[in-house]
Amino acid sequence: MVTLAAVTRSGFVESIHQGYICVVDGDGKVVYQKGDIDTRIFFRSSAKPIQVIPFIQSGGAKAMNYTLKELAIACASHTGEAQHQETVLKILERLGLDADQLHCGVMSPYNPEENKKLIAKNEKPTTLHASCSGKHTAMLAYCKYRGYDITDYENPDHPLQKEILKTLCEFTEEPEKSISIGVDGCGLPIFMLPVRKMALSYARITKYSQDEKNQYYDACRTIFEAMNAHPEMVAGTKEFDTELMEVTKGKLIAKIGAEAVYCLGIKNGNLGICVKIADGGERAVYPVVMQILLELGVLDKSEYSKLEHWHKFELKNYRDEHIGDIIPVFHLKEEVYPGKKI
Amino acid sequence: MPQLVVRTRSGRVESIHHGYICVTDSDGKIRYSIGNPQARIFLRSSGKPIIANAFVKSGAMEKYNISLKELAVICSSHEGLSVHRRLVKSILKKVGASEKDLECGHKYPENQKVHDALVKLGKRPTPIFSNCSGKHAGLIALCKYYGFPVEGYSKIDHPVQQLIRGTFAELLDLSTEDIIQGTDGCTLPSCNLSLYQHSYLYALLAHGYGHKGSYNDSFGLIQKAMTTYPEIIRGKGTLDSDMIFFSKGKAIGKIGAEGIYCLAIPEKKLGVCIKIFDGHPWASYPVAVKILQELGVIDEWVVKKLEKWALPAVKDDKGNEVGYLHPVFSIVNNETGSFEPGDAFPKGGAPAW
Repeated sequence: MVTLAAVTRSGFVESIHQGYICVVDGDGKVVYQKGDIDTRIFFRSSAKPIQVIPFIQSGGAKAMNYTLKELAIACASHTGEAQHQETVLKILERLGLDADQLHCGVMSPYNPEENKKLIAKNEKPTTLHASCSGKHTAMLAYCKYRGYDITDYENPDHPLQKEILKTLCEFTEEPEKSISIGVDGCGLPIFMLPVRKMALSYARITKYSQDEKNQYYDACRTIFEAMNAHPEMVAGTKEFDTELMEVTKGKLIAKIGAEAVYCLGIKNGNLGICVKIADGGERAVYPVVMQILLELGVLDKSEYSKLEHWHKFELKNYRDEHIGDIIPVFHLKEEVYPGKKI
Repeated sequence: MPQLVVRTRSGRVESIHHGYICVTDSDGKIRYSIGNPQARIFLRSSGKPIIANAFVKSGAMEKYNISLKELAVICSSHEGLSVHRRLVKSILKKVGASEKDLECGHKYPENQKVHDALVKLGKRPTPIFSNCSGKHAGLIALCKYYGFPVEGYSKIDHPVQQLIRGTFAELLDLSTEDIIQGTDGCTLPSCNLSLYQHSYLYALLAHGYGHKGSYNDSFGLIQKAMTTYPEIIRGKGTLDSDMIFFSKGKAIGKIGAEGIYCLAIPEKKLGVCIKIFDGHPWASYPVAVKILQELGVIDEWVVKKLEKWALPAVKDDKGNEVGYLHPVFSIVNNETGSFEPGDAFPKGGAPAW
């Protein structure tokens, strides 16, 4: 692993974050790398755009009248704001289900204002506030469409989970037997894959979304459209994923995962990117991703200026005075060749 | 970089925490270390019991009739409970100051109940709720004692901060210019020193009365305050307080922001400084407990009482345990982990651990 970001205080390095980066193109060619990209990590919530593919590919999303906004929240780790709760609730009502049938568990909403509202009203959070409720709802919708049992959809042996795993294997060219399955924060099976393969899956989504002849063209194009039409559903107010897609208007898809995983697909060049901060420190992800986007030339000047605060992330004390920053401390553009020591 | 802790999920390594440890005795001799003991770090809130020396040594305690319990809150990163706030108010009243003089900013308290109660009131917390308000009250007391202006006491060039700087210099036998200060979260200056120096200062706290240094009596009293009132140092149910309470003062632990944890071990006259490189807020907990176990400071009963910090559980949103934060080092044998994300790591540890 390689040192990727530093946390400064009063002009000194106070903490550091190490990690891995892989940038691949749609043919699986490694364009840039930092650290051992064959290191296996859990995909966590960055897997969501893949997990929704069987639903769209099968025609399930159309049959269940899923809108782009609803597909966006299926790919989301949302912040539990009213707009997210309403979107999920509306789908559940249409499906004739209620929030208790979501098996994602209950968590306090990530959005601080929403969380304060709940506390102030003396109310407990529900499954609707959980960041994964959109994905779980899409899984229920798919089960309904297929006529699968909806009471144990989180079981790794459930046909839905088997189909997701099969799709993942196709997009990553990773044999099923080499993918370890763990339990995600929301209780669903989650897959362990090499960093390189996670980047590849995003490169593939991106490539297929622009290749009319590909069998996944429709599904992948829909994912791109959904996440870019409704970035506010994918994360939430003042969140990185949301701001990044709002500002870049269709150039890319971006999705965070817990324990500092981050994946992106970039249309220009069909690039797939995976970042993992080894210590799980999410705060380091943003400056690192921004540095990559900058070096790849993905952002123009005006886009960069709107996102600059994520590149050099200001730290303040409790009197709101600027005391340090989280900054990237690497350059992507070193030549990569077999045998090079990284 | 040395691996100290791995975070697992479903029996696999998911994330890794690196860091340094230094264990020093009160003669200034390094007894054990992992990584570079000369690496410089900010002491952050672990500096509070050290800063308190300036207060105890000045004579302000006697002049203002400050109690041992009030001294404990001066050394604390407290949870903002009413007992903590009452002590801070009492100090301020005794020295003729008020809550309005506190310059620690607006920070929600760590204790969930107090936090929620404040949110329900719809008010942002006043400075007294800040976990640093005890230390700030101590500094205000010092200003009053020396006739310094109270306003601006948190600024780096204020005479009281230069007094603190001088105290650190004296304790470490350095010149004042050698003590570099940065800004802490609560706006106060924080000293930038090596892990070795930090651990030595905690060894002085561990030694307390009887040490040959000129601060032996003040360290002795600070140790007494911390071990007599563990619940004041942070709050019941936190590692700092429960460690002191259940070990009956054999281990004094003090957290600092950005992955710092310091320990004073009185019976062995040892001080420990831990820095988790990535600043993770609780990856230092299993490290601290492991060191105490390895050095034979705490027995199995105490370890059991500190279980949730010895092997912190990673839970899913339904509350099921899906992984753990495992220590993967031995301070006594100078061994550290060499894991990669993805490695198998069942609960209880890979073979070597």
